[in-house]
Amino acid sequence: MNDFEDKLRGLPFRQLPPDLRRNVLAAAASAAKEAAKAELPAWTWRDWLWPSPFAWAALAVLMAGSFTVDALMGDSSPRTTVSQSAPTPGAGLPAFQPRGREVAFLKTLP
Amino acid sequence: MSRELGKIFDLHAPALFAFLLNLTRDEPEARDLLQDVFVKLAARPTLLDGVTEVRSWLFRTAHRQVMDAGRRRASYERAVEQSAQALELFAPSHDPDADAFRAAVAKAMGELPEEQRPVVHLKIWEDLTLAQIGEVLDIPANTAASRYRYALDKLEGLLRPLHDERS
Repeated sequence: MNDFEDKLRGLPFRQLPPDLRRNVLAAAASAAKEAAKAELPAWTWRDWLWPSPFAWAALAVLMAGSFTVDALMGDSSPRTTVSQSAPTPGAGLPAFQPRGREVAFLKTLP
Repeated sequence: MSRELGKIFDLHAPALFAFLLNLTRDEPEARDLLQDVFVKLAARPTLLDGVTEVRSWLFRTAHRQVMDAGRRRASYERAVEQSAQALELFAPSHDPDADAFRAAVAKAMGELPEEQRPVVHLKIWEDLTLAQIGEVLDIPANTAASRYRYALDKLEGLLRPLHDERS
């Protein structure tokens, strides 16, 4: 290396612009985040719920409502059974006959 | 990775920026290209797997970015822009003669052919051997040697008056 090369080598380069470090590292961090996102599996719940998550949510609400109604109907089913097995008007009279006798007896009392 | 990237930046970015500035002769472009290098590295940290010389890798990547950017721009447009602006490549000094010499060197570097400029930069300011320069620039060491010889002759010719004054 000759004198001329030594002279060139001794020249100091200007400093980095003050905001460059922050800008470059911010862009790099953003790129790293994007890259990490891209590495996630392609299949996601969001994809599965395509085309409209709201439609699936509405369907879920409908089904829940249906189960609730079904459960309530299940509670009332014995009453339905009773009403179905209710005696005919004629068949109900014997049940009241003892009480009728009691009433008649009470009426005879002074 | 961000902390490691910060360290890499602090260690190598000043030299890399000077290299990019010397090659592109355009500060906004040098800034963009420096950012591209670090964005590339952040997006794919595995690029450094097996790399023993991070600095060489950075210079090689930066040089490729410059070449790609150069292909995207018309050479005429680039030449007009480069000649139009006075490039602040070196730090200012308190000595007007030293400042004049630094400005003259910056201008003379701009007058070198584009393929000679990175060779001179890497040899003079990065102190790489011609074989290492060949690896960074992806050229044979003999080609690097001849480019360096021609470039240095031209620089000496352009700067001789100032160089002689200061000797």
